[in-house]
Amino acid sequence: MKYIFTLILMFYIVVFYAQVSWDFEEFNLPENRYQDDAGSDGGFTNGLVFLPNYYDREFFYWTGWAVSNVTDKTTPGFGNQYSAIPGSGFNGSKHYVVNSAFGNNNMILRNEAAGKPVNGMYITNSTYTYFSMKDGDAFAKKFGGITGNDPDFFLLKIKGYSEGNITSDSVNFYLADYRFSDNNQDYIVNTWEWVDLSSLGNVDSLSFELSSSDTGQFGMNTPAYFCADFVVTSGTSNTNTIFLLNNVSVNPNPAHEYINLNVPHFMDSGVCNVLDVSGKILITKDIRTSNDKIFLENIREGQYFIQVVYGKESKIIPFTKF
Amino acid sequence: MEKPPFQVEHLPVQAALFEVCHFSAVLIMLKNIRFFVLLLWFNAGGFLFSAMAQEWADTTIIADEILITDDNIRTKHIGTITQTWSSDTLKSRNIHSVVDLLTSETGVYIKNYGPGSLATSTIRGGSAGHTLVLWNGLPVQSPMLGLLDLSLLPVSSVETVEFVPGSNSAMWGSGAIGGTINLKNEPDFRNITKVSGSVQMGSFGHFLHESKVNLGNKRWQAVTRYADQRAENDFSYFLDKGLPYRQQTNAAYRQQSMMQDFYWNITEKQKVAIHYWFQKANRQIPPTIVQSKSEAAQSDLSHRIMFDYKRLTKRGFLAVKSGYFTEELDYSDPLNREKADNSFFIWLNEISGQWSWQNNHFLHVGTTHSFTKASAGGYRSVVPEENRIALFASWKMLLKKWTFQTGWRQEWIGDQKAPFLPSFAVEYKVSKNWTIFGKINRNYRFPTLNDRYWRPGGNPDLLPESGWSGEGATEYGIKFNNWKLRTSLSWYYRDINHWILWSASEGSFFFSANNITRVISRGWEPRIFLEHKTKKVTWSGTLGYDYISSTNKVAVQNPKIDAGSQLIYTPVHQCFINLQVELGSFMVLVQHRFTGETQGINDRLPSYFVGNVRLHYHFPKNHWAGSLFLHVNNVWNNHYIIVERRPMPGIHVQGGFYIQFTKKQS
Repeated sequence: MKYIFTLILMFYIVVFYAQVSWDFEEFNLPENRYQDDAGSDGGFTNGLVFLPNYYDREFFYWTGWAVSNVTDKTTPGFGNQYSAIPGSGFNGSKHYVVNSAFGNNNMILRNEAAGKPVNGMYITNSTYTYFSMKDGDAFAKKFGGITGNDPDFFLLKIKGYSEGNITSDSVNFYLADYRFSDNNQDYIVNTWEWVDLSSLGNVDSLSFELSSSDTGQFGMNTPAYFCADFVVTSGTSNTNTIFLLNNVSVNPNPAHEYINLNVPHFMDSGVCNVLDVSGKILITKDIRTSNDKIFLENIREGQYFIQVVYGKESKIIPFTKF
Repeated sequence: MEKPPFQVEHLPVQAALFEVCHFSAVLIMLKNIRFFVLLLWFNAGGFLFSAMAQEWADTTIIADEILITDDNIRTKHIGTITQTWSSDTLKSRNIHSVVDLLTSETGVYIKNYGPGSLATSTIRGGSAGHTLVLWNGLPVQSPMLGLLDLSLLPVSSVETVEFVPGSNSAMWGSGAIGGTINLKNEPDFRNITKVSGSVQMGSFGHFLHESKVNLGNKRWQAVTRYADQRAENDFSYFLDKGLPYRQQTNAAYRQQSMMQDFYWNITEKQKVAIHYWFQKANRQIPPTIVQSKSEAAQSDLSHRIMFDYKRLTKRGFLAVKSGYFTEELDYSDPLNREKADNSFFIWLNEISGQWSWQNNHFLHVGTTHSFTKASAGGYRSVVPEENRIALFASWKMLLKKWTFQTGWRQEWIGDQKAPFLPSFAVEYKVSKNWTIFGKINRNYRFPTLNDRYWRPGGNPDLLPESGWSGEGATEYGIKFNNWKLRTSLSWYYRDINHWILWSASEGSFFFSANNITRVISRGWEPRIFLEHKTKKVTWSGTLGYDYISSTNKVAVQNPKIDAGSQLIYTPVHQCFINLQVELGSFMVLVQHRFTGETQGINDRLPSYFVGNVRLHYHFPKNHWAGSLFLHVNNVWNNHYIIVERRPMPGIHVQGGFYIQFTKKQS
C-alpha cells in the first residue's frame, strides 16, 4: 500500500476547480526575441487569457501586448522597449509579456476564467521605462527632479470589468514612487512584484492604465510600458500540466537542519506538509511568506516529501534529510 | 526634435512619434509619447530702421564698402519695414550667426536649445516652419521639416542679410507666413583685392576663426570664405537654491563652413554668378537638467551650389537661376544604441523677367520648378519625391506720393493645386519725413514631407495651412542739429486656417498630422531710434517692444489646447533696448532684452532679462583696418532658460581681433 501511495506522490496531483497560472512559456520564442505582431488573431492567447495586440503593417507600429524573452536589462532607450528590467520572466522564466499602454489596455479572460476572480499577476517595469525614470532622457525627467525631492510617481491602475461595468474599485500599483518625505524610501520597481487583484471580484476582463507625474501638454513623458508574467486566474487545471505550482521549489536538497520553501507570493495562504514515504503527515505549517523555513530537527534521516496545498491543488516535492 | 528616428523593425506608437520629433525636432507630439518637438523663437535687441541703421553703419564704419543692390521689385518689398545688414555692419558688431543677429537686432523670438544647439524662430507668432530662409532668392530650409536650424547659419558666409517681417507667400510661396530671412551674396566690382580674417576666443573653450579673400577685377570676382567655430560648452549652470552649480556635459560642437563665389561680367549686360556653400557641423546633444547623462550626437552636412545668370535689357532684365542643394543629418546615441540618418536633395530652377514702362510701371513675371527627394528611417520603404511648379507675377506702380504693388502666385505640388495667392501693398508719403504703408495678402504653407510621409502619423491628405494677413505701419524720421530721430509703429493681423498640428484623435493609438486648428495672430511693434552726434562722440539708442497675441481658436483634446490659448513658446511681451556710444575709435554697445513668460510643453517658463556688453576698438590705417573686441554676454549673470529643461550659460566672455587688408588694383 505504501508503495502505491509513494508512486502516486511522485506525480503532481491535480483536482477540479482551482487557480491556474499563465506564464507565456508556450510561445517558445527563439532566444532574445519578441513578437509584437499577433497577426489576424488580434492578440495573443495563453490558456484562458487573451492579450489584445494591434500591429499596423503599413505604419510598422504596435500597441497593446507583445510577447518577449529579451534579456537585455542594461540598455536604456526605446530601442530596448521589449525588455523587462529583471532581465527574464518571473522567477527566471524565459517568457513574459510587455504592454505598450497608449491609453487603456485590456486583458480578456476566456471560458471558465471569465466572470470569476483573478488572483493576480507579477508585474515589473520595462527596461526602457526604468532607465527613463532613473536617469531621465531627452523627453522625460529623472524622477525626483534636480533636487531629488520632486514627488514623482509612475502608477499602474488596474480595473476589473464584468459585462462592461466596473465591478469594484481599481487596484493601484506604483511602478515608481518618489512621494516619500524620506528620499531613501523612494523606489523604482526592478523586480517582479506580485499584484493581488482578488479585490476586483468577478471579472471578464482587466483594464490597465498608466499615469505619471511627468506629464505635459502632449501627455505623459514617461514611457508608457510595463511588463507582466504569471497571471493567475480561475479555471480548470489541465490534467497534463500543472501551472499553478510550477514555481514552487525547495532548497537545499538534501537538507539537514531546515529546508527553505520557495513559493509564489500569491500562495501565502496555503499549507505545507512534510510526509514520510507512507504518506503520514509529520509536520504541518501554514505558508505565510514566499520564502519560508521548515525546521527538520524532529525527523530522522531519510527520504521525505513536501506537499504544498493551495486551494484544491497541490504539489509534491521529494527531499532527503541527512 | 528632437528623439531621432530609430532603426528598429517595429515601433510602438510612442517610439514612432519620437522619431518624428527628434529628427524633426520640430514636430511635437507625444502622448505618453513624449514627444514632441520642436521649435520656435525669441530675441533681443536692436531693431534698427533699416535705412537709418544702414546709413549709420556704412558711413561710420565701412565707408569704402558698397552694396550692389538688387532692383528686382520682387525683392524690394513695400508695405512693411525691412531691416538690412551688410557684412561690414555685422563685422563691426562682431555678429557671427543669424541667431545672434536676430536676437540682438530684431524682435524675433529665437527658441534656442543652448549654445550651438538647435535654434528656430518665431516671427509674429508663427511657427518655426513659418519663417522662410532664402539664399540668393532660393529657399534653403529642409523640405522634410519645413524649417532651417538657424544655429547653422553663419552670417560671415554672405554679404547681406535682410529680414522682412510679415507674410510674403505671394512673392515667395509656401512658408513665408511669419517672415522672410534673405541671405545674399553680392559682388564688389571695384577692382580691389581684399583679405580679412578674425580670431575669437572665449569662455567654455569657444574658438572662432573666419577668413575671407576677394580677388578679381571689373570683369570677374572670386570670393572665398571659410569659418571654423568650436566650443566645449562645459559651462556651469544654476539649478536651484541650496544646490551646487552643475557643469554641462556632452555639449561640444564644431561648425565649419566654406563658401566660394565666382562672378563674371560677360558683357556689360550679361552677368553670371556661381555660388558653392559647404557646411559641416558636428555637435553633441547635452542632457537636460533632469537627465543624468547623454551621449547623443548629431552631424549635419550640406552642399549647396547655385548658378545665376542675368541679362539686362533696355527696360528690365531676364534672370535664370538653378540650384542643387543636398543635406544629410545623422543622429546617433550610443547609450541607447540608436541611430538615425536622414537626407534629401532638392533641385530648383527659376526663370523670371522684369519690364518697365513710363518709368513708373514695373512688371515682374516668372516661373519656378523644384524637384525634391528625401530619405528617412521614418518613411520606411517610401522615398518621397515631389515636384513643385509655380507661376508668379508682381506689378509695381510709382506715383508722386503713392506706390502700389500687387502680386500673384499660383503653385502646383504634384497634382495638387495650392491656393491662389494674391497680395496688395501700398505706400503713401505723407511728407518728407512721414510714410504710411500697408499690405494685405493671402498666405499658405504646404505640409512638409514629414507631415505627409512619416510613419506612423504622416497624413498624405493634409490640406495646406492658408489664410489672410494684413499689416499697417507708419514711419516718421527727422533730423535736427546733431540729432536724428526715427520712430515707427507696425500693426499686423493674421488668420491661418487648417493649422497643422500633430495630435491624437479620440480612439487613435498614435499622434498624426491634422488640420485641426485655426490660429489668429495680431500684434504691435513700436520702435524708437535716437542718435546724437558731436565732433568726438556719437551715441545712439534703440528701443523696441513687441506685443504678440497668437491664439488657437479651436480646442484640442490631445495635446491639450484650450480655445483662445496662446501658442506655446510664444511670449506675449518682448522688449529690447540697445545703447551705443562711439568715442573716436572706441565703441561700447550695451544690449538688454526682456522676454516675457511663455508656456512650454510641460510648464510655464518665467520671464527673463539678458544683458550683453560689447567693447570695440577700431584701427583703420592705410590699406589696413581692424578691430579688437571684448564681449561680455549675460553680463548680469541671470539664470534663465529658453527651452524647458535646457540650461543657458551665465556670464561669459569672448574676445579677439579682426584684421583686413584692402588694395585697389592698378
